[in-house]
Amino acid sequence: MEKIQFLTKLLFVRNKTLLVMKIFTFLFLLAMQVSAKNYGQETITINSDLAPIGKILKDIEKQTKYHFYFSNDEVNVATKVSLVVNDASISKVMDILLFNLPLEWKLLDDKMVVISTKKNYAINIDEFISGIVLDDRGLPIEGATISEKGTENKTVTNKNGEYKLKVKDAKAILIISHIGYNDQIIYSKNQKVLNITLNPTTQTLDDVVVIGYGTVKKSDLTGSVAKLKVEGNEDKPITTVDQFLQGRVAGVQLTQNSGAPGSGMSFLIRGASSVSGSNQPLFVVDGYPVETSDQNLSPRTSADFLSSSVPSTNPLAAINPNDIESIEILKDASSTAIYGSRGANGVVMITTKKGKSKKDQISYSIRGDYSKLPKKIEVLRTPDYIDYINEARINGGLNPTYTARQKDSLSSVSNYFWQDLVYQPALSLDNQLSISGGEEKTKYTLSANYRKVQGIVKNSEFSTGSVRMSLERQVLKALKLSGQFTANLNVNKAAQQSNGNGEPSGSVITGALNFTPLTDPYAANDIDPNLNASGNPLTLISKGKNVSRAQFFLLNLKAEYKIIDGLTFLLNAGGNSTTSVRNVFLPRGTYQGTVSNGLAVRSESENYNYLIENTLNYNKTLCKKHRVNAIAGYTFQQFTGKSLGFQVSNFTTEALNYNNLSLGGASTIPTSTYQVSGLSSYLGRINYTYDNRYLITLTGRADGSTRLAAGKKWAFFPAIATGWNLHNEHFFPKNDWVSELKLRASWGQSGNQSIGVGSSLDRISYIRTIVNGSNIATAFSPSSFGNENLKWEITSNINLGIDATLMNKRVTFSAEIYRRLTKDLLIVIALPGSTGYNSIATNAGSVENKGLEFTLNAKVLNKKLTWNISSNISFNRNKVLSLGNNAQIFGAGGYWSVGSVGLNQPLNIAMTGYPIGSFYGYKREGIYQNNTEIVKSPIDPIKPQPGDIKYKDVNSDGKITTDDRTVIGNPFPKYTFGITNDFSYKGFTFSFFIMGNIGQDVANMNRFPLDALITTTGYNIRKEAWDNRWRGEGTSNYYPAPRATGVIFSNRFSDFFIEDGSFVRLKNLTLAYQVPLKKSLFVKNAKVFVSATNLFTLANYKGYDPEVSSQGNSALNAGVDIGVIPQYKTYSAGVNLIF
Amino acid sequence: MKKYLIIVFSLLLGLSCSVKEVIYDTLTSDNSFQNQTDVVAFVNGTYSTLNIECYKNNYLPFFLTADDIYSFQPGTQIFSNKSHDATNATTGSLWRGFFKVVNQANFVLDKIDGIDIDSAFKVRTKCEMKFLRAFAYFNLVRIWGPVPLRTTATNSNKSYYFPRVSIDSVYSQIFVDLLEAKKSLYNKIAQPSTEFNHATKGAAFGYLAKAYQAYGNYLDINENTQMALQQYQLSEDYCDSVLLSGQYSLASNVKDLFDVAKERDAYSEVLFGIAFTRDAQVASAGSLGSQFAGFSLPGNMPNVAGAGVNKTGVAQYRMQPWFVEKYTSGDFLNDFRGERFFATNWTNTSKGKSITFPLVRSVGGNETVETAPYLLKYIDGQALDSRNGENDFFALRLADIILTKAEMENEINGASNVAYTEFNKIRTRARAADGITSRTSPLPLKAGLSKEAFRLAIVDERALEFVGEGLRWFDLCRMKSPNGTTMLEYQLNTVIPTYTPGLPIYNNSSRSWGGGRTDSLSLPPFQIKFLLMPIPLNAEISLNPNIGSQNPGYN
Repeated sequence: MEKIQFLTKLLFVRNKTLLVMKIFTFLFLLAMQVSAKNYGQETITINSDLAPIGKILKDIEKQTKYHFYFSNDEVNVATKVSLVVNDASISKVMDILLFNLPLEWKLLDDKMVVISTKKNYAINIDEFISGIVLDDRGLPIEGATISEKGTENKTVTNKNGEYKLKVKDAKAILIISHIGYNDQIIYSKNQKVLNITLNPTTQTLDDVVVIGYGTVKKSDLTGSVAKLKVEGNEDKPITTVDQFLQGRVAGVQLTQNSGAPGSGMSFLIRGASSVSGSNQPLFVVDGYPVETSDQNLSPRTSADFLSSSVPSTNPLAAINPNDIESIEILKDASSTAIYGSRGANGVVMITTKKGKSKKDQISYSIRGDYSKLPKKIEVLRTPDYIDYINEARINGGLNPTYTARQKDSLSSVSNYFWQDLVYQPALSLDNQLSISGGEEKTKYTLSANYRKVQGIVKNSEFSTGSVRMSLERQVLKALKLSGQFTANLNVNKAAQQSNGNGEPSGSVITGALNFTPLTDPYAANDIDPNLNASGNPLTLISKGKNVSRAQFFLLNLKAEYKIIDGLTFLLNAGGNSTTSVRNVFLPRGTYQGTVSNGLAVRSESENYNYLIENTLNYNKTLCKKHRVNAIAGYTFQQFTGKSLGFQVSNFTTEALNYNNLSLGGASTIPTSTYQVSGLSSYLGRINYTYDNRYLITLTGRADGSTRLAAGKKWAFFPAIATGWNLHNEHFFPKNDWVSELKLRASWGQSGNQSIGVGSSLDRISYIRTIVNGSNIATAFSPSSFGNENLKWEITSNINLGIDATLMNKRVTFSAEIYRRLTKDLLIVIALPGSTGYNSIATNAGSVENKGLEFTLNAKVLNKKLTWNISSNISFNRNKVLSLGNNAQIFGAGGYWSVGSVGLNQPLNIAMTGYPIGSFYGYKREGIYQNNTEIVKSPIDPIKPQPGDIKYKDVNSDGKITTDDRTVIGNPFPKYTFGITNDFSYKGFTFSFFIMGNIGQDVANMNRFPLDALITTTGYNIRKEAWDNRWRGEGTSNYYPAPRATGVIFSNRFSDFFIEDGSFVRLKNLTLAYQVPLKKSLFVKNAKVFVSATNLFTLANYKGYDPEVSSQGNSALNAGVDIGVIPQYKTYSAGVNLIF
Repeated sequence: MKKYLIIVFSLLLGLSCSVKEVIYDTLTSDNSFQNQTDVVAFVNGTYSTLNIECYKNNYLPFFLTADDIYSFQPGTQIFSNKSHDATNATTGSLWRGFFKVVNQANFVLDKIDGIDIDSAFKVRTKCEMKFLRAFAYFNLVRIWGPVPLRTTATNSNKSYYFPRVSIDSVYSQIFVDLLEAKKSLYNKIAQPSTEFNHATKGAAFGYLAKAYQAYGNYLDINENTQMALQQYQLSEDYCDSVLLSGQYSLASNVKDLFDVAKERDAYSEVLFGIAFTRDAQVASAGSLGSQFAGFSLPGNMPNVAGAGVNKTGVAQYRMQPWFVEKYTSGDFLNDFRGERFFATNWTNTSKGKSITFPLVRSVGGNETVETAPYLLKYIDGQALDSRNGENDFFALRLADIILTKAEMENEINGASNVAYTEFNKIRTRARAADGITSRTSPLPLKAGLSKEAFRLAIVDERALEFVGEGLRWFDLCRMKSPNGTTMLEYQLNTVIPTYTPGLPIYNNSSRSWGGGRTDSLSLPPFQIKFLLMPIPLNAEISLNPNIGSQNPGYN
């Protein structure tokens, strides 16, 4: 902010100088006129448009008695000037004629006019160029900026369109710009007078915003749409679109679910609105709404505990971020209503790069990344660990396990730090190649990439390759055909993580944290993992396999037919297919592998959808002041999903792992699915602009879905939005301070479609039964009944916005305020047992999100050193207003459900009056310091001793029961922000990007066993917990005393695990250098770069990284850190070449 | 060119697609309920729910809450020490299980008239569904008292939130259903093997007898003696229907009755049983095998229940010492049933001997001494794991009908000859022992007992005969004690206090058992709430705004 104030001061001073200069010039000319007035008698009439001054002087000589005397050294007779005068005196004529020329004149006697170089100019190296700026109709343009390229010289035209610019070079290059007009570049070539005509902007990319089913001029935009230009990202280790968006756009909160390569991000655009549905936005690639479900890329169809509790992978991994030209994010309902039932979570519009009509251009870039674990969690080494075991036993009145001698000998023999065995520094390589070009009628782009990302967990790797082709052809004058084709293949050799049950052999992360320093990781040969250590994470790393291979195709064809001027018919048709196979092998030594004698899981999925869209677009300016941009159309999209999965166990040999399933002795009954759903829609929108001042947009979409019951299938999603371009009003003072000012207001509705296929029908499940006393057979049982009343979840959205361009267009500012109200929440409500069913999908309750968003972009410096800042900050408050008949809805409940820990309960809750996914558990009041305190305190059935945690009797009934649980945390940040700073100096560019999420809580569940200080877990503990443990009265009021018996944390989830997840992170730092090249070289452009990602993070967090959301997109399970791979610190270097 | 384009575009414009839902991979009520095979699958599915959701994992609430068996394991202990409350998950699952049976039965009853199948099959299936609905409600009303009454399948057009109705209304529905069911169910003898274990006419008669008995008791306890007598008469009548049907006979001896290898033969005596079988495909909790053997037998007794390589049990509960002492002495001294039903000595997994109360070490012996005996009714040495055994749950045996007839006769006419005759049938069979050596005990019941004394004799006989069959809590709650209260109150407040509290303590030098005779934690003074289970909080109360009041004593 200080910087900005400084900037305004600077500008102010500059303006003053300008003013002084103007006044000076004015006085000078005035003096000249006064001195000439006494002489000239004869009048002159001349009408000469841009003629050489020599010719004009000759014409005057012919007309009058005057003779001109000058030296050709001083006066360039070829200088072209315009002179239009009627019956003017010689003094007036000369003043006009020599206006802006470095010449002065003198009338020696009655007819001798001497022209010579101005005295003042002789000492001035600078030259001036002057002229008038006109629009295409010949009217003067006021406020147009004229600047000399490569200098800081600039001026603005006055109300007559006149300008006078001091230039450094007689051969100056002028840039003339004004809003609403195309910039013009003029080479002055020694000319002193340049009159310029500007052409109004026909839509160029910068001024156009992509919205649903069309584009709109930025000045005509009424909704809340954030636009991001995606360029020059080859220098950052960005592998998916969402990583690019993180922190860059106000109102868009993205949380990396896990650090594993290929892992997904949780999207929240203006807060979470759906309790049980996904909060992921709709992704539209070049007008094609693509299906994004992480299940598609990494199918999980088996019911084993490992498949059911792993973090989701990234559904966007198939889209190469380097193919993207720009991203628009539709945030308010006036923008999203055009996507109707799929718009409630926002819409991300991705526009890919298209060929341009110019010479073929080949671009190649290569980048290498070096990544490592940013932080290790200190756990006990052998001497401390032995002390811990002994102290725990002594506290329980038992004999210590180890003697001092054993402690010494064990400390020297086994002292393993498992995190070092699991993590590795990782190397990655990214290659990008693209060829594009075209001519008038045909444009094309071809691109290919291959990327191999090593995980920081040993033996994990994500590799992806894709090919994209874009072709555009103007077939007839009125017909344009275009096509886009993308193919991607990716292979994810995933490290086994677990986001729920926590079993160390189900997650290398909890394994690495929990294994004790005394446990020998290796077998006798020091290479193979020690299988006697049950659940040894090295078994997962070296022998376990979890490989998904996915293929993604997107084909999109468009035909655009211009019926009459302004009216276009567009046919958009295409298909999108994702097929994937996941193979898992868990050998003996892992938890599941031991139970099953080797377990192989195979899951396959096949998803495809096709789209047909017919739209009519009308885009025309009528009677100069009425601009209409309208669309109407019909679309249909049908989705098909199939899957197959089964497990094989009891392997005779594990040598071939999953490659020969016949070696297994038993298999489950395969599961298979086949689901089809469709969406049929009519849509329309009118965007009307009057005189560039008043804007109104009406939008509507009617969606019909197969998923809803007859009679409820169709819903209409309306929206209205208005805008007012204040700066185009006549009363608005034209000034450099505020050159644009726009107010916007919108209201609209959009829906959420996450209703399970078949929810409107009675569904029957098959169960196993016994017939004839001992034979097992399949039987039927009604599992759920169709809800005939099921309807769309509707989100109403009010948005108010202001956009301003300030300070000579160096600062742009936007602010938005919104309220989103989601009603008829799609909730799977639990039914009372007396119904005979467990649950039903229904509509009940409402959720509110309200917030503020600010975006500020500034060109701080634009001299040789340029400095641009783009920044945003957003605030969102989420609140459940009602849940219908449900008092509360719990999130997933299986945390730490496997193994010796056994918490097995939900951590999050949706409750009226609190945010969705609030943490729900006990409150602590420190540690019981002595028996008196225990006696005085509410009765705790676990019979605590001094050194145990004291829980709070929230309902004051004198005892600690489950009723004392309450809301203990909020997983959503109070605000999020991002600041990007870009500097460039000569060939260097430097940028850094800082982002932060402030005020959210994280449930650090890795600490559940790590801080328990109970030896029954058999796990290691965290050093901080050990160092600060309770050792007697007054020693600790936070960490309990070590124990050799008892239940971990009394099986209670409390605020002990809730930590402030606020963080500020230097997300990226990039330095690039444009290598100066000789023109003759084959390479036209070369850029070398280095960058660092996640270089440092300011956070007060006991775990690896507070930016975590192991359960992915489910708002009801937000903010839980358990068993997932932390984000990496990455250093990158590479080169980008253009041929 | 232009013309063609316009034609193509207009065609595409006219293209409009249907939004009718078609579902390919999930059975719906339309595509799964079409013919007789489908209906059989739904019928079998209803039995499966009884197996998995009622008697497999969730039987403990009515199994451990009497005074005979106690748990010493965290998690299940709350039942035996009667500290369970509405939040208990097992109680919730059991509630859901029985109501799921009700809904499955209702679903078939709602749908079956809509399809064209063999009418005899249709009628019989309806009877079977009504039987299962009545069976579920008979359990619901005994465990929870007033419950919501549903006689049509739940769907989105009706309220999901039904209130509790009176105990009388529930019984009335049970009678209506059973009276209808008895009309067209198979006789036991005519039952095809594919429907083995399914409801029969005999089962319907049997449960009519049991339901009239229970309802009579309920009226009796509530001082409606006149109406109670009518119910008792009906109960005795339906006992006769079973006894005179000629379809059932007592197993010749007690050992064979609970021999898992002869389980099918036991069905000559079993009127209705819940089938379990060793399930090779699914292990443990999810299997179709039972856990009665595993949960009752000790962890060091080999080849009895399938846990670990030694096929031991994983004892979750044990016998109260007073109970074993009482039912192995007096009338029951040398009663084979005591040997067969209580594990007090065995060769353990270390090849040594283990003994429990009331046995003492042999002179100079080094037997391992444990405190309380174990329940030995269910044994399956070939069980696949501790929760995957073959043992069926015998819900209703002829022995119960015989003792019911004796009890009803006593209630109506006092300890008549008829009552004695029926009663002594059970003792006669008990003397048949293991079928190899007949015994002299137990002797026939002492003659000339008063009505009250005879009733107490019934309580005692049932205690031993049906130990571990999940009947004791129901019996104690329904029957009237000598002082007019329920038998449960009488036991806890009058009988149990006569025993020294606390578990027995073995005195090695005197080779005798000192200490007490009870796991006193499990035998607290009577409270009204011990008579019914709490309506589960999470499975019903917090989800059903109309459910009404909680059972007395629970908050």
